[in-house]
Amino acid sequence: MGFVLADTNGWLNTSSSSSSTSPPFTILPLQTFSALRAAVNDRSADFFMWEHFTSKRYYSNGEIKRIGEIYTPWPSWHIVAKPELVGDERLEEMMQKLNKGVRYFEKNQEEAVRYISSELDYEEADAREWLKTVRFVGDVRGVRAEVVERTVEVLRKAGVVVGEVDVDGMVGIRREE
Amino acid sequence: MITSLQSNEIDIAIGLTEGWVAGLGKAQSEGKEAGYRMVGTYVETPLCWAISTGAGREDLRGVEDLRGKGMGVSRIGRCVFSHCHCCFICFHAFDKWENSVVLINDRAAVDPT
Repeated sequence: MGFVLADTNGWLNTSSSSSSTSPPFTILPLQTFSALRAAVNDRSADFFMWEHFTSKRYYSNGEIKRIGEIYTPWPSWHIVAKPELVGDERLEEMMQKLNKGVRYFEKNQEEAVRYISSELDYEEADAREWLKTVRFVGDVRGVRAEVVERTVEVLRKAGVVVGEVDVDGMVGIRREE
Repeated sequence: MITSLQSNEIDIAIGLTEGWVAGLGKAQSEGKEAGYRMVGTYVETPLCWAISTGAGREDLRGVEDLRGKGMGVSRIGRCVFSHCHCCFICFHAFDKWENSVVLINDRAAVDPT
């Protein structure tokens, strides 16, 4: 997502004639969320990116300061399975059960708020705000090739994906919309 | 999670989109089998990544001040986000909601509760 941020702001040097590309940031692996928060305060790092609601309580307690946000240009979560399970009825059954879980979640939002604010240590108000941002698909089965293509293109700009890519070869079960 | 899929510790996983695609792209470019395929869509909506700095950083007020600066990440290299530097968050709410998928060897079992 750091490269998505850079790309969005036009900081990626995509000139093919440039013999040296200056990266948009220096990268510091620090392992844990608490280490990231400590680093931006002791100035060993200048910034980090972390999920909004998880970060929020540390804005509230004054530990860190929020300076912006960026959204993933793709649906956030996907399901994967071992290749030999494609077509296996157990995988199909599991996806039907996931659909039931999603329907239960959608119909029991108060229970969701109670669980998140009691078991997961988020504020109730934040749990409610988070619920507004989350939308599951109607049927979890299948992946849109267009989404994968879009993700590949961003990762290519970041230098994560290189060379020819076979998007169809990445998708085990396809959906059209 | 990718190494767990490759080693057959798990058969199915739910995770951030960019991680799965990066892993598949890396495997393809190396001519290797990734060990998984994308089979389902879970959360349709994007994830909001907040951008944070230290409480006392008066010199950093907005995204425009971040160019060329030092970005802390959780990890690179060891996971699929080499060069992408995405934060791998275990967003427990999603796991807990669905709650109940336990993968035992090659079986998928769903907790009835």
